[in-house]
Amino acid sequence: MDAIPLPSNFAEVERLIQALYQPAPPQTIAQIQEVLQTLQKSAGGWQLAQSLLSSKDENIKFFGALTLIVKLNTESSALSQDDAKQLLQSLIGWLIQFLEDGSSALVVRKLCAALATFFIHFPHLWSRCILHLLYCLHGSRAIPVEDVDEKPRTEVIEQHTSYELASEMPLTRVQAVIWFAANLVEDVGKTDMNSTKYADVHRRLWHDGQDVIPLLAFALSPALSRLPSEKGKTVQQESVACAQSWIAYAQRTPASANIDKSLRSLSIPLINCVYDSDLYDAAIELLIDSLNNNSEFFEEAQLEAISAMLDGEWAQKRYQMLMQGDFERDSVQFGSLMLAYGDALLTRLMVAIDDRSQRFWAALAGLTSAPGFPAGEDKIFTPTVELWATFVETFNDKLVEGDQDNDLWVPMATGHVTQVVSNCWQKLQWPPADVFDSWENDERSAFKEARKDVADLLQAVYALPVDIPLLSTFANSFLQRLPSCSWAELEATAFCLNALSISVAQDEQHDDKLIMVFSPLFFNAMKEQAGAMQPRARQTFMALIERYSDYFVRHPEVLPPALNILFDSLSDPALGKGSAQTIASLCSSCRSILTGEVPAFIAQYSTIYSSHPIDSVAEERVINGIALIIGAIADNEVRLGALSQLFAFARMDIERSVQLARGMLPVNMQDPLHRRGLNIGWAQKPPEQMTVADIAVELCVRGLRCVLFMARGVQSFDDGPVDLDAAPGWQGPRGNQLPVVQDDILSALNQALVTFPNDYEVIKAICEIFKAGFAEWEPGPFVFPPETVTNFFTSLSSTTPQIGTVLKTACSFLSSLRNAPEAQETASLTRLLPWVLTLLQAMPDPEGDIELSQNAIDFVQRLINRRPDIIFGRQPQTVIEFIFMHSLRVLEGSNPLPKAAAADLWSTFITLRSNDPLARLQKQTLSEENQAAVWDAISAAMEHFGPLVSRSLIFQVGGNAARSEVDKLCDPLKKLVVNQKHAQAWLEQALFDDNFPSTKVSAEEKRAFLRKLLNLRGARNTNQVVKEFWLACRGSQFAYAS
Amino acid sequence: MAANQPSFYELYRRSSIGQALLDTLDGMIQQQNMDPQLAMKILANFDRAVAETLNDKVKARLQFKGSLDTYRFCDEVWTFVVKNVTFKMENGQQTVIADKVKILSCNAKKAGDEK
Repeated sequence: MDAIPLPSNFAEVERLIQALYQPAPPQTIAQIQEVLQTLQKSAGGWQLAQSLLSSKDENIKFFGALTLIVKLNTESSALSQDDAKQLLQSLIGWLIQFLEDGSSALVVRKLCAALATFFIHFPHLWSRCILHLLYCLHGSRAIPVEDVDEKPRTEVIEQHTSYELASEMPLTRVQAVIWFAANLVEDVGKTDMNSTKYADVHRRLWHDGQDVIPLLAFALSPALSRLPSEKGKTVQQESVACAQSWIAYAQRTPASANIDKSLRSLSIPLINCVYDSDLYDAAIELLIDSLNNNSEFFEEAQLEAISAMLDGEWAQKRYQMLMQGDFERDSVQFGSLMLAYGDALLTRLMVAIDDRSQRFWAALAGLTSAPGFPAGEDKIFTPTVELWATFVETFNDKLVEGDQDNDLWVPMATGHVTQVVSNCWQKLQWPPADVFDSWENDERSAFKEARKDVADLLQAVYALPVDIPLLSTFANSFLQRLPSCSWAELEATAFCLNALSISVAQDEQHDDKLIMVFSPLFFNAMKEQAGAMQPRARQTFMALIERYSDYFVRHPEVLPPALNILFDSLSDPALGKGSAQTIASLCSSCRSILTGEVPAFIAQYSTIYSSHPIDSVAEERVINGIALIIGAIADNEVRLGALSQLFAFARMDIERSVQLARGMLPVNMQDPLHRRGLNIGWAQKPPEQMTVADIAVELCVRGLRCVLFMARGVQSFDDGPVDLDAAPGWQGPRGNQLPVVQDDILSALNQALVTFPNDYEVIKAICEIFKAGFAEWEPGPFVFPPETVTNFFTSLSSTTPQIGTVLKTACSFLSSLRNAPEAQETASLTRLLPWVLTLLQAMPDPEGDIELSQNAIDFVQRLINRRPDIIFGRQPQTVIEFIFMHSLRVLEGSNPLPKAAAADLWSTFITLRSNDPLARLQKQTLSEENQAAVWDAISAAMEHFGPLVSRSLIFQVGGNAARSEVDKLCDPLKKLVVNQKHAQAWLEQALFDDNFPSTKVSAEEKRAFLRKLLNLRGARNTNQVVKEFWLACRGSQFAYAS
Repeated sequence: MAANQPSFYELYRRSSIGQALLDTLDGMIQQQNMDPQLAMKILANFDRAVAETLNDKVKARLQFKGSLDTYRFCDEVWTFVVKNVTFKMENGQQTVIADKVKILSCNAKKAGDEK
C-alpha cells in the first residue's frame, strides 16, 4: 500500500481525521495515525489544534482536543507564561462554546481532560481551578485567573462559593465541571507523588481543589434528585464516581488526615445515595471500596448510619433476595457491603453483645447458606468464608491474649462459628456429575478452591480453645450416615475429617473418635458398595486412609481391609494413582508392622503385573511401598530373598525389552506384558506411530524405574542411628547372598546399557539407581563397590546423551567416597579424572555444553577439596594447565551456571594452603617426599595462576559480569585477599591493565577500591564495595535498580 | 479509576526471575535499546505484578509442621525460624523435610495502602 503523503492544506487534514474514524483496514488506520501524529508533533500543532476545535464536526473537534493534550504533554515547556495563560483562556472559551452549541459529551469530556492536563503542567497559573472554572461557566465567559484571584474575597469567593455558583447554573455546566474535577484528580493521581517534578501539582491540587467539596455537596443534594429530568440522576451518578476518585486520592496523600476531614462531610449524603436505586451501584461501590481500603475515613456517625442501614427494612429486603438465590450484581454488591463492614469493624463487633451486632453476625453466618453451589452459582460464599476465617483468627487471638473481660461474647461468637461450620459442610458437597461437567473450567476450579477455603477454616476452628467438638461431630456423623449410602454427604464429612488430620492423626487421644470412622462398616461399604459409590467419594475416602496413616500404625488390625481395598482400586483409571499413593504412604508408616505380609504383597503385585498393567507412576509407588516394607525386614537373607522376588519382575521387563529391541521376540499388543511398554490403559488403543523400538525402550525404562523405586525403598531408615566411624556400606559384612543379588541387578543394568546406549531415559534411570546407594552407610543390594560404579562411568563417552547429567551423578559419587579407604578412593578418582578431562577436551569450546562444563568443573572442585594430590601429585603439568585455563575461560564467559561453578573452584583452590592441605594429605598414606611434591605443585600453580585469576575477577567486577553474578564472584575475590600474600600486587596489576573493561572509573577510584577491598579482609561488606565498583564501572545509567 | 500508584515490595527482585529480568534490562541498556527510566518502570511493574499474581492467582497450598525456634517482629517484618519441619504438599503428593527453615513475612497489604 502506498504511503499517505502529509496533507498540504486544512481540508486534507479534516478528511484524514474523518477517515481515521471510519471503518478501514488496520494498516490504513495505522498509516493515517502516523501522518496525524506527525502533524500533532510539528511546530504548527498548536495552531492546528485551535483550527480543529473551530470545526463543526464532532470527530474533528475531538481530535483538536486530543491534539492539545498531546502538545501539552510533550511541549508544554516551550510555552511562555503568557502563552500558557492565553491557552487556558482559549480552552475555557472553547468549553463554554461547546456547552452552548450542544456539542456531544465526548467532545466536552475531552476538553475537560485537556484542562486537567493543563493544570498538571501549569498548576501555578491556575489557582483555585475548580472555582475559577465554575465562575467562568457561571458568567459564560473566560475570565482571566487574575480577575478572580485579585478580586477581594468578599466580592467573589465568599459570596459565590462553588455550591452557590453550581446551584445557579444549568446542570449541563455543573456536569462539565464534575467531569473536569474527576479528570483532574485521576490524572494528577497518575503522576509520581514522590517526584519533585510533580510535588507542586499535588500540593496545589488539594489546596486549590477544595472547592470540589461544596460542588459535590450540591450535586448530591436531595434537591437535585427530585428534579424530573434524567439529567439530575446522571449528574448525581457522576458525582458519586467523582467523590470516589477524590477519596481514593486522599487515601494515598501523605497529609490525608486533613483531606479525609473535608471529604468526610460528603459521607452521609453518599451513604444515603445507596437507598436510591438509580445511584445504588455507584454509591455501594464507593462504600465497599472505602470500607475495605480506608475504613478510617468513616467516623462514628457515618458508621452508625451504615449500621442502621444494614439493620433496616431496606437491608432486610436486599438480604432476603440474596438468600433466595439472587446473585445478580446488585445483590452480590449488597453482600459485599455487609462483608466489608464486618471486616472493617471485626474486632469491635466481635465482642459486642447488643442485639443489632448479634443480628448482624447471624446474618453474616447465614450468608454461608445461600442456595446454590459455591462459586459457579453462589457468588457470595467464598468471600464470606474468607471473612469468617479472619473472624476465627481474631477470635483465637483474643482468647489467647486472655481478652475475655466480658466473656458473654465468647459463647455468642462460638455459636456463630458453629453455625458457619454447619452451613459450610452442606455447601462443600459435590454437585451431581452432570451439573459439574456443565460448568466452565473457571467455575470448577473456583468450586474446588472454595472447598479448600472451608478446609482452612475448619483447621482454624479446630485450633480455637472453645468447645466446638468438630472431630467427634464429624466422626459420629460419618458412622451414622454410612448405612444410608448418601455419598455426597459422606464425602463432605470425610473431606472435613481430612482437613482436621494434620492436627489429629498423630495424637492417639483421638483414637476413640477415629475408631468410629475406620469401622468395619466403612471397609465393608468400600468393598461391597464400590460400584455404587461416586468416584469422588471413593477418592476422598482413600485420601482419608492416607491422611490418617498414623492411626493405622497404632491400629494394625485395620490395615488388611484398608490395603485390600487399595489394591483392588489400583486398576481403576480414576483411582489408580491415588490408591498407589495411599499404599506407599501406609507402607511407609507401617513398614515395621507389615514385614510379615511381604509374600502377600508380592503376590498381589504379581497379579497386577501379569494381568492388567497399571499406570507406570502408580506402579512405581506400589513398588516403592513394597520395597519400604522389605527394607524393614530384620533378617538379611529374608530381606534379600524378598527383594530378589520383587526385582525379578523388573528384570523380566528389561529382558523382554532387549529381546524386542533385538528382534528376538515379535511384539504382541494383546499380551499384557508387552502392553507395559505402551503405558496406556487396557481398553485404550496403542498410538499408531509407536514402533517396536519405541515400545522396547519404554519397557526398559519402566523396568529400570521400578528398580529405582526398589532402591529408594530399601534405603536405610532415615531416623536410624548413624555410626560416623563405621566403614562405608560396601565394606560391611556382605554375606553370601548379597553379591549374588548385586550381580543380578548389575547384569540387568548392563543389559539395558548395552542395548540402549543412546537413550537418555535409560542412562538417567541407571544413574539414579547408582545414586540411591551413594547415601547408604550399610551394605545393601544397591550399595555397589566403587570400582563397579567407576566402570559404569568410564564406559560412557562424550557421545552419550546428556553426559552432563551423568557427570552430576559422578559428583555425588565423589562425595560418597568420604570414608573410603585410600586405595579404593585413589583408584576410582585416578580413573575418573582423566575421563572427566576427556569429556571436557571433546567440547569444541568451553561452553559448548553448559551442563557438562558446569558439572565437570564441579567435579574438579570437589576433587581439589578432597584429594588435591590426585591432581597435583599424579597428573602432568599440562593437565593442571588445561583444568585451570578452562575454568578461567568459563569464568570470563557468559553462562551463569558454569561461571558460578568456576568461581567455587577458584575459591576452593585459593584457600587450599590455608586449609592446611598437609594435614589432609597426612591422612592419606603419602610419603613425606610426595607430600612435599604436592605442596610445591600447589604453590607453583598458585604463583602461576594467581595473576591470571586476579585479572579475570577484576575484569568481571569491573563491568563485564552481569549484575546477578557479582555476589558469586565476590567469594574468590575475598578468599584471594585473605589467603594470598601477593593479592595486592596481582589485583593492582589487573586494575591498571590496558584492557580493563571500563573507562568510567579514574585511577584514584581504582586505588580507593583496592584499598577498601584490602582493608575489609574478606568481610561481608566486601560484596557492597564490589557492587558499588561494578556500578561505577558500568556507569550511572545502571543505577536504576538498588 | 486511577489513583497514585502505591509502592510494592522490591524483595522479589532478588528471586531468580527478578535477577534474570535485571540482567536482561542491563543488557538492553548496554546495547542502548532502552533507557534507565523505562527499566525502572518495568521493575516497578514487575514488583506489582509479582505481588498481585502471588496474591490473586497462586492457589497452591502446603501445610507444614515443626518446632518454632525463634520469632521476631521488627520493622513490620515477621521472622520465624522453624526447626525439624515437614512440609506436606497439596493432595499428599509430596513430603519435604528440612532441618531448619527461615520464614520472612511482610504485610500483604501494599505499602501504599497502609495509613
